[in-house]
Amino acid sequence: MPFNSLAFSIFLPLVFFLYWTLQNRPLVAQNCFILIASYIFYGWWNWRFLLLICTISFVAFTAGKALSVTDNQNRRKLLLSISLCANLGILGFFKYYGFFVESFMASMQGLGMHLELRTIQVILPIGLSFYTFQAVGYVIDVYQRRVTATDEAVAFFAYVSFFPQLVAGPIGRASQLLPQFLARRQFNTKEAKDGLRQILWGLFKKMVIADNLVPTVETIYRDYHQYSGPILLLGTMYFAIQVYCDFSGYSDIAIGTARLFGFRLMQNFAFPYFSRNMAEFWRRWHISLSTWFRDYVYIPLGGSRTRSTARHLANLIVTFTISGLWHGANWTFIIWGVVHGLYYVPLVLSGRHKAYANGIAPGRLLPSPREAVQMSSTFLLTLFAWIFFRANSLAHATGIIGRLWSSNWLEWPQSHSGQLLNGLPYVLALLAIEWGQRDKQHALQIEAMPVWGRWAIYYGVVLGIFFFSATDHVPFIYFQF
Amino acid sequence: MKESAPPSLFSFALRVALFALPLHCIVAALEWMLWHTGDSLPAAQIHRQQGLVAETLYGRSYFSQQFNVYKIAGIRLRKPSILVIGSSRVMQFRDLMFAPLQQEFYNAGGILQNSSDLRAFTEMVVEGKIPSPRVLIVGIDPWWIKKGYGEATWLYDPDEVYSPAVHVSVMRRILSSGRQLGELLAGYRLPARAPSGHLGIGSLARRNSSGFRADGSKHPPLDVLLDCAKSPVYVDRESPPVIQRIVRHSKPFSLPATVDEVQVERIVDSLKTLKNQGMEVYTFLPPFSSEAFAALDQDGEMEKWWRYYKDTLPLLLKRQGLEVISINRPQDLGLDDTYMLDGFHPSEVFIARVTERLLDLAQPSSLLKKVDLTLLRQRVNNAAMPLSLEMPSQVNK
Repeated sequence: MPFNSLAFSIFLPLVFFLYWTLQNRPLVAQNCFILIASYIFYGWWNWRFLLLICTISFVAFTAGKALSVTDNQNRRKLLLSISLCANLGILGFFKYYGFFVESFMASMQGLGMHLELRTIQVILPIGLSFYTFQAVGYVIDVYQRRVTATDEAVAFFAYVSFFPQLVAGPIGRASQLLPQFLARRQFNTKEAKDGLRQILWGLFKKMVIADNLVPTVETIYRDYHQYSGPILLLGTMYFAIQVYCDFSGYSDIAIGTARLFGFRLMQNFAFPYFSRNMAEFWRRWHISLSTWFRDYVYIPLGGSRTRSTARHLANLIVTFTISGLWHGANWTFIIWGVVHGLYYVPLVLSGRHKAYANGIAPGRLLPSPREAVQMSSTFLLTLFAWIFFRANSLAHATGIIGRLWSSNWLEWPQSHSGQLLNGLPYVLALLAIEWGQRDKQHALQIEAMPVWGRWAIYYGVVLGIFFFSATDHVPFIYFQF
Repeated sequence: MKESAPPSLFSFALRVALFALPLHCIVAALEWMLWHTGDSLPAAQIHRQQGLVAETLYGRSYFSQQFNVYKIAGIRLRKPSILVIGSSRVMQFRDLMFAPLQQEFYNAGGILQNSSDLRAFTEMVVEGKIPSPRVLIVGIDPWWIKKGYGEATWLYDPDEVYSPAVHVSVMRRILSSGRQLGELLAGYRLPARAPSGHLGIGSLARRNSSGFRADGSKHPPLDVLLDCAKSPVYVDRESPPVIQRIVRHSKPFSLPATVDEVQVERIVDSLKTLKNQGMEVYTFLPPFSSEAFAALDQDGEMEKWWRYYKDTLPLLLKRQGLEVISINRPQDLGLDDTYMLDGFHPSEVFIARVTERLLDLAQPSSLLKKVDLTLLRQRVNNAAMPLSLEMPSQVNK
């Protein structure tokens, strides 16, 4: 049941009102209701997926309970290994089976050996990578004694399957989200209002900006050999905005929906395209995933507390490579991850990777020239990496990069240049609005305005969605991951 | 203990409802008007209304025409023994031409736009998804056999009126254009009776008396009939005119115009399959106006394709044991271009003459032999004007 569907527009208010009528009931009733609603939400795609989420939740819950009753280190390690193997094994099978078998066959072929291994078509259940990481994170946290294992099965199952964040995050952390399932929620008007505002802004970003950029991006990437450098750059910029609006739009809807139900999810995007270097970009982009990788991959590998800088850099590159692979079973994602890892090398070597932890141009209307140059160059670096992310294959990506360098940069298509520029107003409007609200959690956080001004803006956004949203249904990009 | 939601929740819900109220009112008003004019009625309901009042025309605006949905629903509901299928060029066959078998006739003209549609129709008949008639009259257009023309079928497309996305698009179009909004408001206030005296379902029918009769045939716009009644001269009313399309090689006369053997085979195979289902199948190659015909004859770039359609295809179909009525232009029946609605749509009087030919071809055991040929001839001879068998009521007023 996608957020931008008619079914969800009926489901959400119905579940919202039924849920809050239970607020004076015991906590278990609230959690039970969340669990049932979440399973209906997920089963709407395919009821068979429910078996998977139940299995993953069960493995994590049982492992957590078992870990909590033993101090024997060997036994704890064994329990952790079994649960990780089970849950990551499920993820690996559904997501990477075909990729690894085909890559293995291709590499053997390269060595002159023709293998005929049996491949099967495996459907990737929607959201699997997200909820598996949430469940795995919990078990690791219990193992590391960062959180206490819960005995509340219903609360835990509801925590793993919580419908607002089930299919594309933000990936919840047990230390922050699970306690919210263990305490009774009371309706909070202020939270609910801001939740609705965030949902509205998320829908606008997804349906008006992201979806309207799709046809132009598709045309440019499909027929890239017909276009010169400036158009390919424009297409990649459109894609950068599309993927941002698509995914951060989803996150806004997820966070806003969770707030309607009395939950606080972690902020997933913090205006990443205003970052001044790539390290800051990763503190602002897909925060729930980057912090997950930081805590469960990068730090266990040794993180920055290593004897040599080379090891530190290797840890970073390995983490980013795995992060790329997490996005999909395709070499393009792996290279995208590696490129981002390599972007960190000069920052670490110059000690700039922890710079810019503060706000961007605080108290100023415009960035300083230095900040503007930093933001532009960071944006250009992300664009280069996005080429790999968007391309269908490595050959496609290298073809586009080759054309970017070799084509005439003064050439502009005569025939449909207007059509290619159609997306620019959307991009400029987005950047202007987000720049103005860059110190907020989301761009529609305008509770300080007088009521007439707020309502005028809400109506503007609603009418914007009504009149300018793309009518073709475009699935959320991150659903495929 | 009775469960109740807290006051803050109610005040929140009330505020949200208050905010959404104006938007919902606008949407509800537009939906009501589209429903009231008949534009957003589902096909089954239209057929029910047409079944209640025989003199009803259906022609919707705002939503796309979707002959496929409307006509397939018509076939399913009426289960006709005599069925016409093809493009808009066969929409002029009428039930009164088949008297006394009017109740057994249905014109599904418009459902076939290409050879893939014919194949899909055949599959539907074979699979029992639509009832099979005893007599099938199939109009075949020349572009169906052209390379690169229409590979996809629209017969399985769902009714747009059930799509929320299409409703949003329609409302967006109406609200963005003062003219469309004005037309909808005017249509809403129009009486249900169209100017032709028919009951109108859909804005097009209410405004222009243009639409489908209950038998599936097309009633031409009233202004066209009134013009013809005043001065019966030939006017190519297509926009852009057919002759221009031929000369400029624009759709469906675009170049290269080469024969696609795959499409020919698809047509022949489908017709044979339908015949093997026990139907009498009559193929009809609809006419062009003399000027359009001459232009096609003289166009060197389309020569092979055009000749194949005109000369080879009828022979090929006959060799397969299929009956063929190939009337390329009005002169073949001793008529002139005033019997054409435009460059490639014959008038109903023209089609009545084609029906005479059809009845002549029918075997003695055929259902068509029950049709009253004398009455048909009388109707043709007493036709009110070249474009219509009857005089529109407006002319008399």
